[in-house]
Amino acid sequence: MATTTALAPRRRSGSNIALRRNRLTGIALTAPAMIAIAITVLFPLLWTVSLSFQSFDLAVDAPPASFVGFDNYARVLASPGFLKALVQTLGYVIATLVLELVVAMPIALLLNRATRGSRVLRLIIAIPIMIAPIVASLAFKFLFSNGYGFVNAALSFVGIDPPSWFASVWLARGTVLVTNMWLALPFVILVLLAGLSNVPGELNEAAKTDGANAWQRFTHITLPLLKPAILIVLVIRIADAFRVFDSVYVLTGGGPANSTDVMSSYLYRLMFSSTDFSGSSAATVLFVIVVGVCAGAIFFLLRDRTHKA
Amino acid sequence: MERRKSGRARRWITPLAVVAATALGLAGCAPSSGGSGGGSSADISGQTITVGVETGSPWQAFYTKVAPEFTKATGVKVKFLPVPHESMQQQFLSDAVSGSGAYDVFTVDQTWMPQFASKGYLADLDSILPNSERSDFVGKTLDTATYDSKLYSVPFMVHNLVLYYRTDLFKAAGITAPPKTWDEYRADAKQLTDQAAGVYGTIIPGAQDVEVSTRLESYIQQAGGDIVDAKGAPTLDSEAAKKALTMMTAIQNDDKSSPSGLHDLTDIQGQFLAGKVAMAFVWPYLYGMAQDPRQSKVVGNVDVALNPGDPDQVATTFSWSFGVNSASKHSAAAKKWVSWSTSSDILKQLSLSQSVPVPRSSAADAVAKEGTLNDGQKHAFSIFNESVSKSATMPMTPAFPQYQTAMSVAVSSVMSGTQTIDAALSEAQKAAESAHDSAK
Amino acid sequence: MTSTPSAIDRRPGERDRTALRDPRTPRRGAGRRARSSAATRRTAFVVIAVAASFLFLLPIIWIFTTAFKPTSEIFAIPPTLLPVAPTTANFASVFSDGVIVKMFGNSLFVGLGATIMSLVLGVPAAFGFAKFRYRLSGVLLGGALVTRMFPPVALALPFFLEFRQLGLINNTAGLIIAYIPIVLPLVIWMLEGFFRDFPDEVLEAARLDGLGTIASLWRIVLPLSRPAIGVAALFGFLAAWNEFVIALSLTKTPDAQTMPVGIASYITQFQTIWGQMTAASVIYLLPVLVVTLIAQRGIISGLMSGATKG
Repeated sequence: MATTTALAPRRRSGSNIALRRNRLTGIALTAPAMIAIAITVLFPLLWTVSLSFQSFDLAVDAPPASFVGFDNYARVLASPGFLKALVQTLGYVIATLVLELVVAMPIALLLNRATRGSRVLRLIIAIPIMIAPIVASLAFKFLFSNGYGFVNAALSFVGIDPPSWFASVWLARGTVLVTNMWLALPFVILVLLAGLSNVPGELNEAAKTDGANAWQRFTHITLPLLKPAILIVLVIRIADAFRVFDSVYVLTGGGPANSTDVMSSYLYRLMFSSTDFSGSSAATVLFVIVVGVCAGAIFFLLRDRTHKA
Repeated sequence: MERRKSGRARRWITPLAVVAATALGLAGCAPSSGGSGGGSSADISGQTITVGVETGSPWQAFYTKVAPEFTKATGVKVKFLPVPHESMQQQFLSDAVSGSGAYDVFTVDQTWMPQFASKGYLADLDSILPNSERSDFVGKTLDTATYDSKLYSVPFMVHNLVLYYRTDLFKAAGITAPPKTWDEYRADAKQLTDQAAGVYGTIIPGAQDVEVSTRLESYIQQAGGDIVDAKGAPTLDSEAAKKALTMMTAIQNDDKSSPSGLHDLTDIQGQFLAGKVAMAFVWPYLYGMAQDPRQSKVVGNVDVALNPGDPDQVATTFSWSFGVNSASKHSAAAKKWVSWSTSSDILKQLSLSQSVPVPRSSAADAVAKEGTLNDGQKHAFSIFNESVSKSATMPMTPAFPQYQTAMSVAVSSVMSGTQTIDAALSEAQKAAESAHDSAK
Repeated sequence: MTSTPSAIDRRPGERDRTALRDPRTPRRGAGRRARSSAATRRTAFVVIAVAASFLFLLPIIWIFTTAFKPTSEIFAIPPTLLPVAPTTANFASVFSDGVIVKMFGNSLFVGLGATIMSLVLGVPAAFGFAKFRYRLSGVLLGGALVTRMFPPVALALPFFLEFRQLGLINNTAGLIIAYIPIVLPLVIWMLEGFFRDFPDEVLEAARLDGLGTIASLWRIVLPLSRPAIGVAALFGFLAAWNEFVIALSLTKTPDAQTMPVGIASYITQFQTIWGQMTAASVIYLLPVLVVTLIAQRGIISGLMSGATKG
């Protein structure tokens, strides 16, 4: 009895010190990076927010900046260009996420079964991830061109009248979608493959002997077990999809008729063509809010499922 | 005990930090206006100036070739930085805004000259052109470089679109003269289209870019209208504009006398030089290219004429000039380049080597007297000059780039079938009006 | 309580019949027809795989073959794949004015600079978040990872305005700073999960040996984490190497412009100079492809571990 009471306080203070040391170490280790992020992300963003409530011009001899409340926001929200870019961006994000999953899934399932040459195939699939979007976009710009482009050559070879890809609204959107899918599919396939490797083969075998067909096996066994992987894909891809810029800049320049204009290209134009920096501040803040809300929604879904962190 | 106290203290740190950051942010002043232009040393020899030029343009080729003469004469070295046409305004603008002076001299496109001048990004060049020099400039050409009564650039070329046509195809079809009216143009285009042979009568612009917007503006002026009224307010939804777009869609969609697709200058120029199109509207530089067997498949079968009009045979004139970045750190050397590169002798060389009309009458006279010109070239030059002298230029307003964007979106909406002509023009008019209002 | 027969229970010579048979391989004694149909299936699979791979890699194949084509062949209708008259003229003209070389150097400098800084900041941070939690560390880690969600163009405005006042426009050092928010969160994200799985016993042992935190990190953890850090560094470098919109906004001349900006500038109003553009792209892609080949196992496992680490 005496020994335990004698020991107890010492042990408590020992663990106190250890915990405190741990905490201080943690702070010391993480502080430099956090400060760097604060300086390069947090402060610029807060500054942008404050700028969005001011009207300022960067001309020589410009009038000094003045506080204008929500004027910039009203102006940006009222401009048809902003709303069009926003709607088109959301449409693009949804379309690309759905298509990526739908196309990647069968490929991942196929690759999961393949034993021969899987290393080579995985390498081939991984290559587009390393390619700069700007270079890929330039390649696709050529491939989709009239006359000398490979896509139209292939279409006329099989007897289909080749269209002008960049001349019609939906075809132009298609080229942007295809280019970005080429860049993104590898990542989705590889993540799904990793998820599939966690699906035990015995479950499928057992289900097969129980008489379940391939579709039933997929929806009732594979898909539920793939949910964590799918959610990872969604979280990461949603952020990447909102960023799309290079392909729009190169393939269509936002056209035809601004039908492929997305938030990034709209913002870039507002800043560097119209030099409307007050409007750009407001538009930037709105853009960040939109991305935050969408990413937050996905995060919320993730939190309800298996949360490993 | 200890832990709880430190815990409580720590709990305050985060909110405090956030508040401090926000306070800093809100108190943080908006960026100050730029324009720190410097460096005007009397002795400019030995300095290097950076001239921003349009990638792949005939003037890039010419000035790169003659720059060593400038270096020999003044001791100033010249570095050329090519920028693609579509990015020129953005790149130059953001350099001017940033005040970093990466470019000393800009190749100034008239379309955004008022925008730059109104914001103080171009140096005042009144001092480098004395009156004796100014009178040498033809007619209203210096107006294209003047904003608010001050000279901000000096033009080395003032031009507009002219009609290029295939003399051989015209002869074969029995057409004796190039069209003078829109009706004749449309009829000739229909007659000259031979889809089986892959040849089209003409080619109609439809892509969404600024060069296409200059074509719409030219069509509108040919229809007797303009894109702004006498007070300078935009009039993009005028009857003339509707007439222009109706003509374009009729030839493209109804007659099918133009290849399918939304065309830009690259298509128009490329297809004409490849022999696939009988009539095209292009700028004067194409004449030299059309006679060069390395670039053209139609050498010897090309002539130029005034634009067909309805009723006016005109096209909007635009100028290319050199201007000095007000944030340049070598402004004296830069100004020397501007006056040297637009001197009479250099302009005469430019005119001869690139077959383009130049704005100085002494240079134009020297070119006309040039014994080495053949009849075709002499005729071409006279057409270029006549076309420019008959025509009006763009409205000199800082909002012009936005007018152009509005117009190019309208053209591509209509040509891609996304919008009706009325809807597209009224949307363009709204955009132009809001640009006009904020430019005041 | 049933248990699967283990090897001990089996009589010698008896095969383990409980192992699941790969249904694709024919049974022993199944006959020549079953075996040859399996062989045809395999050949069909190989053929399809090769064709699909070719189509999949077509953009890259196009870039490499076009770089060696003369202009007339590039615009040939119908298009050809391999050059009929291969030429190195495109490369010659790309190297002739030294601009692409300068931009390549800029990309290298900026990429390495941003990656090194992010490793110096990010490796300790990831380690700290993984092993030394404190009250706010969850929130801060979440915050750091959230910045990865950020569209970089949102930072273009404040960076442009700030750099303008600091004179950092058109400056490679400025670009390095601008790339920190892109590379650092990526490094932290990739390494935090890895460090979390790092065995605590090894750290305990190090601590008992008297090593301080920094020493353990430097002498024990880092050497054991080289592959993971290598993959994180590679992806961080790639993020900076491939970046376009920030470079486009913050740089003006070849003194500071990076390869993506240089390659994109080959699109002009007069033509897209495909030959030179693809030659420049080959120069730009070659290092990336070489590294991908060398480090393929690490890259693929790094990407796939994203599925389990979250």
